[in-house]
Amino acid sequence: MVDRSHLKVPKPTPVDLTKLPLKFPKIEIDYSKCTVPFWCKKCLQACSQLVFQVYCKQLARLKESDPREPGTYEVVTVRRDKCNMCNKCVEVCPEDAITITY
Amino acid sequence: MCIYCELWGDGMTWYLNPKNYPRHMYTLPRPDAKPRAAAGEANPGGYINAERALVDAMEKGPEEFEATLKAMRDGADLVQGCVGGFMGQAVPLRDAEKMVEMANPLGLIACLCRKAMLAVEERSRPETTCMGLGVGMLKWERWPERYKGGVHWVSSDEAKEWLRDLDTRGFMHSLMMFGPRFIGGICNCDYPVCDALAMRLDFGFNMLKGHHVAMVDHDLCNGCGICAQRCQFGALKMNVTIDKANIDQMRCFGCGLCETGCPRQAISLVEKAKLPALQEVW
Ligand code: SF4
Ligand code: SF4
Ligand code: SF4
Ligand code: SF4
Repeated sequence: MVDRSHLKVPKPTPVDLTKLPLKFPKIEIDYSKCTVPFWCKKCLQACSQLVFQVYCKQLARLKESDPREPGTYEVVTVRRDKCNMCNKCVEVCPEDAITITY
Repeated sequence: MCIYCELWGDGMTWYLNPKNYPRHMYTLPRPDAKPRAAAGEANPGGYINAERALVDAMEKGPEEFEATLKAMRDGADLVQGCVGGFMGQAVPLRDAEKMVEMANPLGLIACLCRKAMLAVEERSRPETTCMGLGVGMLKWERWPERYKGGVHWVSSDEAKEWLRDLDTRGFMHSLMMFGPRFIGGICNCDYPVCDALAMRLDFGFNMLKGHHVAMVDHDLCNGCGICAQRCQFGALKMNVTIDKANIDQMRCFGCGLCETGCPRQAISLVEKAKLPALQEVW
């Protein structure tokens, strides 16, 4: 390993540590109901805060997955800290897969 | 000096140093090594986990948050070989154009962050917003899922035209490293869709500020406000009292979007090297 102790690595942390801990909404997704999120994507489009993201669960060599096939993608709540509990995602979800508690 | 220049610059801006573009920069896996996830696809997965861990840690308290942040910075240093958790750097259009002259091959590809955030596929060439550079791209066919939509190979002139078009539309450019010193691509980003940008602006790592800062010439500025719509970093505001643009250079990332957008050429990019007080602002 290269010795980098002499380098001045910038450490800007926009998070105000004195305000922690903070409380954020808890968002649960029922994966037995939400199976094709890349195809449905209603919650991703409805959320003004971009809380949700999708990722491919079956990344494999030489294989392109079909987003219409159940289980290839999963939707996850990433930026929970920005959720304002407007409940729009709950309203648009055709499968009633989302529950939000605070 | 920027940490990358100190390590890999040889006295010049590190990403303009031709020594950082040769073939051997891409480390080939040993024949007995286990197949790894495609370099790019591992990233949003990594970002997703990193962002979630940081948000969870914010709920637990300051000590937990600092420990999580430190583990990620140190971990990135070991795994990616990138210093202090920084894997990219903002580059203005003019420098991005120089980069595509030096690197080869150039492939236009779909952006992984937009795929993750919006569940969209950029399948045709006009839709592409990301560019892979260098020999690493030649392995793309192994990972069709990551490169959904394929790779559109372009010449450096076509790449420049593509970059200018994205610049006009308001995307800021940044370089992206895959492993130590290996410049693997040019991202065209905006907040909050770009995960690398969000990681920097929300949590303070993953992307270094660029080598320039923007300056306004008040004699030329007519207060039209176009530049203020283009700044992704909250560095440029309209100074309504005098009806001119105002730039906070401590916040400025040197992306140059305000410069390229100004119809009166009132904004210029100044090299940070000429401003002693900005030497440690990265
Ligand atoms: S709206 Fe509901 S079903 Fe559709 S992706 Fe979101 S959670 Fe899944
Ligand atoms: S409640 Fe509103 S802000 Fe929160 S995740 Fe749902 S749509 Fe987004
Ligand atoms: S775009 Fe140019 S002229 Fe318009 S407000 Fe900004 S600096 Fe002034
Ligand atoms: S002020 Fe201009 S150069 Fe600086 S971050 Fe904003 S748009 Fe980019």
